[in-house]
Amino acid sequence: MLFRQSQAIERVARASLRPAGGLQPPGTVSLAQGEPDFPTPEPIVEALERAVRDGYTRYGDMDGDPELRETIAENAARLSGTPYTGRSVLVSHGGAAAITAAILATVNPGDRVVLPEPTYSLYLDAVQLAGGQPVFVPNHADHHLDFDRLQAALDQARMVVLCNPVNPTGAVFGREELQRLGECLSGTDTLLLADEAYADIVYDGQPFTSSLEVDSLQERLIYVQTMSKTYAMTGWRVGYVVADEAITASIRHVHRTMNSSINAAVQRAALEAIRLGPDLAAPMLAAYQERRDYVMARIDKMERLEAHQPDGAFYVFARHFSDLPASQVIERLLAGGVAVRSGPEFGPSGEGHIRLSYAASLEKLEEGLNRIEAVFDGL
Amino acid sequence: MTETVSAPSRRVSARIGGIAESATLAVDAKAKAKKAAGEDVVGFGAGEPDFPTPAAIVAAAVAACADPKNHRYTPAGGLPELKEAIAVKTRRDSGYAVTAGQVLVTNGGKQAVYEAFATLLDPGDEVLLPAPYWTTYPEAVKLAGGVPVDVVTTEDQGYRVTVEQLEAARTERTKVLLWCSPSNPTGAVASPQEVEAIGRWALEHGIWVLADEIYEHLVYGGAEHVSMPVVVPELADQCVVVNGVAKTYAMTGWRVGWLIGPVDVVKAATNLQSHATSNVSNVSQVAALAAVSGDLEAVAQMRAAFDRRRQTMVRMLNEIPGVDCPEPHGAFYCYPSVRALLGKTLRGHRIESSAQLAELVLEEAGVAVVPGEAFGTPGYFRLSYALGDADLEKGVTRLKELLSEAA
Repeated sequence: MLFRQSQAIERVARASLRPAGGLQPPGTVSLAQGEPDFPTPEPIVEALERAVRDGYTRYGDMDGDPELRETIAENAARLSGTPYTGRSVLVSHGGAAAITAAILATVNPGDRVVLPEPTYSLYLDAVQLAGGQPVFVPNHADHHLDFDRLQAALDQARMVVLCNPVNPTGAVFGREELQRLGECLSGTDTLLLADEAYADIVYDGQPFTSSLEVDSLQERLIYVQTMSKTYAMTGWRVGYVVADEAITASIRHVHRTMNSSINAAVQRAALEAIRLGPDLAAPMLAAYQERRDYVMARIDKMERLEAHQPDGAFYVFARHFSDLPASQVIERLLAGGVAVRSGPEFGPSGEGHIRLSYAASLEKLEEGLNRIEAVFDGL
Repeated sequence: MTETVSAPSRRVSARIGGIAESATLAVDAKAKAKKAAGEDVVGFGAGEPDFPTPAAIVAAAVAACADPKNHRYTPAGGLPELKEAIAVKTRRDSGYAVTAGQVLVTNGGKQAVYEAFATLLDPGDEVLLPAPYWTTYPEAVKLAGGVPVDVVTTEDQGYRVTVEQLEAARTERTKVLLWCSPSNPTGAVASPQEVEAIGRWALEHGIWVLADEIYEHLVYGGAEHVSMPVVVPELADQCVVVNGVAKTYAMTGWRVGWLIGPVDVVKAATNLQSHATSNVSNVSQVAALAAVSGDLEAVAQMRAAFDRRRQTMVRMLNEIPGVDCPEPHGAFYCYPSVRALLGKTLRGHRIESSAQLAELVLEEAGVAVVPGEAFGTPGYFRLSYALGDADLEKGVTRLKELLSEAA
């Protein structure tokens, strides 16, 4: 056999917690998806149609559409008080490319990267690709940061990666928590990669505090965002990075070598989305809130499941009372006609949990939860 | 805690130290700034057709926007129907018989190049790069941890690398040969015999070939593009073909390319892509599906225009004293040597390098070219003829007037 995959790919493949994504039997109710079930709002779609007709079909700026970068920079500057410019911004091939490029640009083989978990599984994959050393730090049972453990793990760490609001738990780290993290990191050269993909999906009218707003985090901040979740634009593949110019310049080197520029017309649509702002997505937010309340009400009545109420994102991370290993739980549920994600995909402390997505209609949620309840009752 | 702490922003990973700022971009940025300031600049820097994307493809994209299913993720490796259409197109165009399972849809050819290297290379593995080459190749090799090894060709050999040159550069660590014909930046097209000889050599030594076929349809004057794994079928198990819709359908901004390889390679590269970026923009994939499923009428029209301009440009360039340009037979670039001008004086400046001369040409003549430094061979210029005929003649005339002053 001539082909042997590279050590880097082998590392990723071996360590990755993400499932291969097997086929679901027909009739399965899927509560596994990480994407909004809504179409992209009409004004954004219209902006894409306009852009392709207007000839945005040539290579775009390698760093991203200049107008889009300026607009992103203005927003980030307003939030942070840091005078970000378009040169601090890199428009990326979705949030995933931003994360991968940021980690490849800053993490050397052997560097420690701290991952408070449960958390989004992609960070681990990117750290493995870079040859870094992932250090999982379990959060408290209420899904908030455990600063005693964090403080110990952060010693000489190259980077800490924070997903906020958290996929998969829906926890939202507030201002005090972020400030305390800033204190922990003070005087170190540890970078903070802050992935705030779900920043606009926060419930009960609560304000969300971005890491951009926390002074003590600014010099080490690599802010990563995506258009996917807020604007239901998963398939469009637009994300971005905001960081100190020097950091952004390094990330840019990686990103342009891996991806070159990204789709020129889609970036015009992203610009329209950002100009119109998250208000455009208010109906979706209202729907998610209603669904969250429904899912929580149902879980509260189930004997074999319990969950903390998520304050953001569109997931419930439910603990189940069963001795079965995670893989079998998922299998049983699938046999019972419902697909969810397995807790350990999101880190070791996800054992004994399942992640339910409520980016699904109330009808689907009702049926899916009926099936989940039936499966657990039968265990 | 560390004793001395540098600001977090000053530290980057070692692998970035290996990647140079693209030299192509430096002149380009300056030329753009001049244009934006209202100066009359003729730009020969373009790496893309100056034609619009065909209307039928744009219409397919607009129609796709209306269906919310096209707003969602696709499988990381691409839409199944697009992969199938690419396999069919590949059989049609180059005669390479492949299946959809051997196709990975990427964010342009660039992502395909990077992913192929990342999948194949371990730290220290060497990649033979016939120079002059597209700047991205060595950068992608380094990002993947490999070592680029330049194999320099010259105008005397028409920039076509020989088996002898490759053999002289081969070591125990040689893992991959990068093969690009028609070539960016030289426009050279290897003959079927040359392709076969090099393919046999690679096969004999167990060297992988990464064949970039992005300019497959842009060949002129009786030249023929042949796909290496077609003329050397046994090479298929150690060959990755890179291609895309950019040059054939004037779709550079849409960012849809692909790689084709053995199933296990494609599986590994798809796995990498699922972690690194996920799928290519969905609506773009639908547009690409319309493109590759359609005919080749648009590229035939572009080819006729490029051929006309090519002949004008190479003739005019060779009329300039000190400029020597072999006739390019593919892509849309001329790659003249300006080495005879080095050491001469022009408008009070001693000409030290092609990079410096390119700056001088921009300042004094308002003409933007890309210096050979960007392609691994100082002493040359790359001029793209993907621009209107009148501009082309105006620009080369200006170049001639200026360079004729060199003494």
